[in-house]
Amino acid sequence: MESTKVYRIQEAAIETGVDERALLIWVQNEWIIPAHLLEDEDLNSQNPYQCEFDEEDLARVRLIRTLQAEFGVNDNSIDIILHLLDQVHHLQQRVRKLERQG
Amino acid sequence: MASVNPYQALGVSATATADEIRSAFRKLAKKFHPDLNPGNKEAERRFKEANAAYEIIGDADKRGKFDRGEIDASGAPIQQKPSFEEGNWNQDAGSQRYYYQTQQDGGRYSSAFEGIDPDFFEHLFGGQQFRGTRPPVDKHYRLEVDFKDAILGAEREIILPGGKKLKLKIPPGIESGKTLRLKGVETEHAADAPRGDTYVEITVKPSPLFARDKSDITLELPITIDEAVLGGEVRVPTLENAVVLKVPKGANTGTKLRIKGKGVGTPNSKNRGDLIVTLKVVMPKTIDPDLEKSMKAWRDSHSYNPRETLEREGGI
Repeated sequence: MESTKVYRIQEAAIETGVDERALLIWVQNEWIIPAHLLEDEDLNSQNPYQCEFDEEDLARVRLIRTLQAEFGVNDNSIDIILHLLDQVHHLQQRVRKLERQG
Repeated sequence: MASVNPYQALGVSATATADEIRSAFRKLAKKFHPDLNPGNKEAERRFKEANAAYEIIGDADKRGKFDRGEIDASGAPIQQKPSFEEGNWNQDAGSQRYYYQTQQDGGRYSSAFEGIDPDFFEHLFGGQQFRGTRPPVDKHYRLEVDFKDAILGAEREIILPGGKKLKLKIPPGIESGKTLRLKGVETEHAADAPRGDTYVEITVKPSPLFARDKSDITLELPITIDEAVLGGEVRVPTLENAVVLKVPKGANTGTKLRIKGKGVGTPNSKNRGDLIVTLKVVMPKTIDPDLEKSMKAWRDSHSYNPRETLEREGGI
C-alpha cells in the first residue's frame, strides 16, 4: 500500500536532491504525472507550485535522475524507457494475477 | 556482505586505472540496476555487490587504504559514513524505495495500461475481461449434419448469417447436442466488447438405414428363407462401400453378425467401431403351391417346437 504522504514541489526537491526547476520541466514533459494533476486535464492551467508528489512520484524522480546522471540516457530516450518499464510492470502484475488464479 | 574482493566484483585488475574502474562500475550498474530488472533478485544482488565494491576502490583514498590492508572490502575497521558520488546509490536505505517496488502492487503509472489495446492483451491472456468494457460476446449457431458425416467425420463449408463462409471440421463420432467451439473466427462484434467465441451446436440427421449404438452402427438385414436355411453370401451396404457377408446356415431372425471396422470413427482414426447386422428372415410375398407342397411334406417328417418353453411356462 502506498503511503499517503504527499510532497509539495519544494519538499520533493529536497527529498530527491533534484532541482525544483528540473522537476517542473519533468512534469511538463509528462515524465512525472503528480498525483493531484490527474483530476484536472489541463496541465498548463495548474499552478505548478501546487503539484503534489506522492512516494510513487518520488521513486520515479529518483529513477529518472539515475537514468540521466548515471547512465547517460538522453532526454529523448527517457520517456521511451519509462513507457516500456510501465508496461513491464503492468504485464508482470497480470502474470502474477493469472498465476494466482491457477 | 562485503566478503567479495572489490576488484573481482567489478572485473578489473588490481592495477586498473580510476577511469577503468569507473567505467567497469557504470557498465555493471546499468546492467543490473533493480529498476531496469524489476523483480529480479539476482540482478539486485549483483548491483549491490558492484555498488559496495565501487565504494571502496572507486574512491582514491579508500582504495589506497584497502590496498595497504588498512580496511577490508566493507570499509571496516574504520567507521565510515557511506559517501556518495553524484547520484544516490543507496536508495533503499531508510524509507526510500526503488521505482519498481512502487509498481509491484499496482502503481498508478503501470495501472494506466488497463483498457488500452484490448486486442493485444486479449490475445495474450485469452480474452480476460477488461475494466470498463463489456464482457465478450459469444456467437451460437446450430447445424444439421448428415449421418455419414457425423460418423466418419467431414469438412464442410458453412455460411453463417451475415454471409461469412467458414470451413468447418466435423470430428468423426460427433453426437447430437455436442457443440463445436471455433477459435479465431472473424465475426461482427461491438467495438467495446471483446470478440468472444463462436459455438456451433450439432444435430445429426437420422439415416434411413443405419442407427448408432455408442461406437457401433447397426443395420437390419432382411434375408430370404432359403438364405436362412441354406446360408450364403449376401451383399451388405456400409457407410462407405458394400461388403459381402456370410450368412450362416440356419440363421434366424435376430441373429447378429459383426462386420469389424465399419462403425463409428474416432478422431485419431484407430479404434473404429463395428457394423452390427441383425438378420431378419422375410417370407416371400406370396406362398406358391410348390412351396406349400414341399413344406407339408417336410413338416410330416421334421417337426420341431420353438414354443416349447413358452408352452411350459404358460401352462398351455
